[in-house]
Amino acid sequence: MAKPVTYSGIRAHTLQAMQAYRDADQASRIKAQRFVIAELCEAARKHEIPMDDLDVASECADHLFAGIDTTSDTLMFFIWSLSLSHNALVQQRLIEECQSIPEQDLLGATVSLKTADGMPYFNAVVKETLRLYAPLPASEPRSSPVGTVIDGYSIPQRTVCSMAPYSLHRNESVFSEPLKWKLERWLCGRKEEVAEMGRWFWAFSSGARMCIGLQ
Amino acid sequence: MHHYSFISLAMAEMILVPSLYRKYGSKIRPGSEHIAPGITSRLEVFTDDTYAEMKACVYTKSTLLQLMQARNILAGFSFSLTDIPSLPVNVVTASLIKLRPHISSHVRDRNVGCQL
Repeated sequence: MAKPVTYSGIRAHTLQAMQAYRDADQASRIKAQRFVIAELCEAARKHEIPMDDLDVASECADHLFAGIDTTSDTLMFFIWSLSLSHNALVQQRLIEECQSIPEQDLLGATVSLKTADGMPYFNAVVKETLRLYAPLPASEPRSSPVGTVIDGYSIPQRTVCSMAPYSLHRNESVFSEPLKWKLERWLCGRKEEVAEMGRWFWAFSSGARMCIGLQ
Repeated sequence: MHHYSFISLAMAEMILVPSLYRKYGSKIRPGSEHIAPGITSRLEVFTDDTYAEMKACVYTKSTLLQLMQARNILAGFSFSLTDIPSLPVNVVTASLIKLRPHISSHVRDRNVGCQL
């Protein structure tokens, strides 16, 4: 079996898991029925979808990467940005907002999800971090089984088209000073400007292949 | 735009940040002021384009590496937290270190070891 171009430990793990599933006896397979690999293999068999071991392993690896890399990348850039000396006031304001949370809104030492949703400054920091440092910034390819017209361009069936959050989030006509980490754009911008920025915000992609974590 | 909510799997872990900044502050570790962290996405490398330098760190004997195969790399960045007499470093580190089993030779050439 050909290995992926970017061969990582996670991919190696999923490939090994797939191979172990393929080589397992029937009793072991029955035990594994609730796992993703078994579900994928069963769905492929049931609907006669041609998926080889690498396809299944790739799907599993994507699930792992989606849960590990995206969060760690975002947290890293979030704290790094706040830690920069020229963002000291931003950090101070965020600390003040965090410290203003009433004790009863905490779950132990943790801020509740609902409370976090209602923290405008925190939300602006998150959004600006995701804009400038989207954890999946590279092109996200898509293809359609049928021909279509997009923005006046005729796209034949199965043509691979892609967009990149990196590019969308640096559109100077939408995001002023796009290379600057500037959360004021989300807090102080005119309503229509913020709405337009939101329209271009693509950190979670969109459509059927968008971030499954938002579902 | 798909408005996110923290009441979603994708964003749930971000609530660690308000919990952290309720008690602590953070600052860049001295000597790392002009260095931006970098990430890989597929075969490309991304960092803050306004910084001349990018840095990731490479650990060779972390126990986490036992989970991975040989030649794997853990990448992170250099920072320190202030006013934290008893920081649960392992918690923060676990949130921040980046599992980077594969980094292109281009990045590897630019890597310099650092500490979390």
